[in-house]
Amino acid sequence: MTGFFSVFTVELLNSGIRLATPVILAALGGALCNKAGVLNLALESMMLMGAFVGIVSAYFVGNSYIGLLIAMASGGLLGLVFAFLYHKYDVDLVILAIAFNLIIQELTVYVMRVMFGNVGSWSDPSINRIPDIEIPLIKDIPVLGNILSGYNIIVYFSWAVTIVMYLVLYKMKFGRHIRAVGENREAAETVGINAVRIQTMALIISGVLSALGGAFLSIGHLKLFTRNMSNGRGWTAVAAALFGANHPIGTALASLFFGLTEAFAVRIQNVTDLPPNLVELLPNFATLIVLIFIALREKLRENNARRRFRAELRAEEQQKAAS
Amino acid sequence: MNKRLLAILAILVVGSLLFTACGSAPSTTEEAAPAADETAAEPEFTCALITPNPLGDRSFIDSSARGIEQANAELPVKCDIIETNGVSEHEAALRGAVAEGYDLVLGLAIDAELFANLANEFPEQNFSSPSELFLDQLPANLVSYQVEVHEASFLAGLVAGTMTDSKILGVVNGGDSPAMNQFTYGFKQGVLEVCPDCQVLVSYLGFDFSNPTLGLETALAQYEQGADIVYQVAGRSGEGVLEAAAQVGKYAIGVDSNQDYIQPGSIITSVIKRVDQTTFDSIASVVNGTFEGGQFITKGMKDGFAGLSWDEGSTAFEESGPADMVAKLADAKAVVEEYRAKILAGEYAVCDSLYPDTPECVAVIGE
Repeated sequence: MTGFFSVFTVELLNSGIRLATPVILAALGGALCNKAGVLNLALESMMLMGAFVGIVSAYFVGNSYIGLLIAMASGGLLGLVFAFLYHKYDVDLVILAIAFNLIIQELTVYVMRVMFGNVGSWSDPSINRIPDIEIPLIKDIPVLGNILSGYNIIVYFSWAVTIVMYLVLYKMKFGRHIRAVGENREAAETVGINAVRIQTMALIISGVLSALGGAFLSIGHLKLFTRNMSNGRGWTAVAAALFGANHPIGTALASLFFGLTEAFAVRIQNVTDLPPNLVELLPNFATLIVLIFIALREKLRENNARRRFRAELRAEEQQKAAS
Repeated sequence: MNKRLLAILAILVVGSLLFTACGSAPSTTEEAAPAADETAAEPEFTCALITPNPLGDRSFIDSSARGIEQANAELPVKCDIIETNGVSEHEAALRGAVAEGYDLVLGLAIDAELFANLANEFPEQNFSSPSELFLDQLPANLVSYQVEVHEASFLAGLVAGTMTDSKILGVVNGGDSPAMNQFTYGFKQGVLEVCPDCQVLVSYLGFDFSNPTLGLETALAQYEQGADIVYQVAGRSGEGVLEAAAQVGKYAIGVDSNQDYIQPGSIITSVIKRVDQTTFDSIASVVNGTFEGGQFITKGMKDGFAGLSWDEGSTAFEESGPADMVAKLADAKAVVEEYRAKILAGEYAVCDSLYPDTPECVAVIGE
């Protein structure tokens, strides 16, 4: 067998980027919601909805790009309903998310079977996969060209969203408002920011992005829909947003990390003598390590805060004693 | 306000349960029959098939469902299909079927321990497993069919070994277990038999049988490493393998059912595992009164329970494949028939991964 290092190829990065794309999109949506102070654990359902609506509308309209747009609209609608139930009726966010995830998982299968007969996965030869695009100029750069070029539009879009979200959140007034609502809703409302509107928009945007990630699965990467196609990627996205500390660029990199681990696990089997069952655990193992890392980071932050607080107390006491 | 909240919650919860019910639990699909013999007298026997996952894998589960359809059409029986959403629902579905009082309860790919315990608990109920159960001993009311797929996989290996240009072949396997490796080792032996300097890449998916995205990327990785024909043994994840073949313009070999039509021109052939026949046979045995629990019934290539899609007359690749590959089909078919005759005559032994100590297995696994 070839050497261990032979897996570190451009194709590994390509594969990792493709696997990461749906997670990046959903995780950015999740991070935005977190920034706006509204927990969105329904990313999984929004992604699944996008995967289903994307391929079905691509089939009926006959154009996969329009399929993408309809998928995004369906995700946005889901986000809107989520926001409506939360704001109007004050439904608990976790319960709401569980309900969404359950309903969408079964609803997609139900509708698929009603429309296309008794099937667990569905595809049609008339559906076109979203084509891969080579970027002129960039594709001619040696090595880097192969890494950066040759994906479909959704992949490039996910990069653009990362940057735009960073700029909006940290360089624009609207972004400041979002963060203000997330950090202290009452204070933000006191200065006249409409918190409900901001959170609603965050939920809609996260729905749109997650659904696009889902559509990437069904018409961007493969060309079929299977029940529960998102297969936990929405939850990976929740973890990625946490890992990336809700910062758009950190979140995107965290998602990329998960994608690369998966691509790595796929490839490493043929170059090591490790038992395959162990290698397959790699992505799960990486997630665990990351979660531990997040927990430690939180702990460290808490400890620091406590230490600072104690030091201040002590300083105060000393001052009192001195006077 | 609070009442409204409660109402909304109630609707959500009930709604989700409703859809869960629709998608999964006893959604008994009454297949075929009614139209054909609506007038037929009371069916003498009833039976139920519990599927390990929902229908529609275009593979193993659908094959078994065809056996049920056939039984409904040809035998005086009324059989239902009870779909489940995975391991967590198997036991409840089996118990539900027992409670319904079916004459025969068929469990497809149910955990062996679970199945045996249940059979012991209900000694009056007849059970059958149309596919392998890995137990040393069966309860007296449970029959287990075993379809030997290593020989059919060997034939697929011969095809791949004959038709490859790159001399690198791939296997994308759902999980690393003795049962799943029947496919892998048989295929590998077939490849090496006709192409001793060929290399076979094997990737496992960690028993993730419903993740086509992973199947696609795994197959792409093998094609990048130079493979030109990849054999998929991974249920619904395998659909991603077939898709990968079409995407990169290379080839795949399907499994369990005839999958040649899924990506016409990219799938050379499919290894057939006639779970429909074992399903049908177990129902027929109850009808004929020959049902005898406690035994393993082994079927294989010699019984016509395993083979290639070509045996069923599939010509999808001949019609849609590229000319240079189609030109090689005649050679491949000749080799297949040559070895098939040898195997059936007992002159040639194919590695069965369930018996890894046999000389033919040592030769293959040792690679």
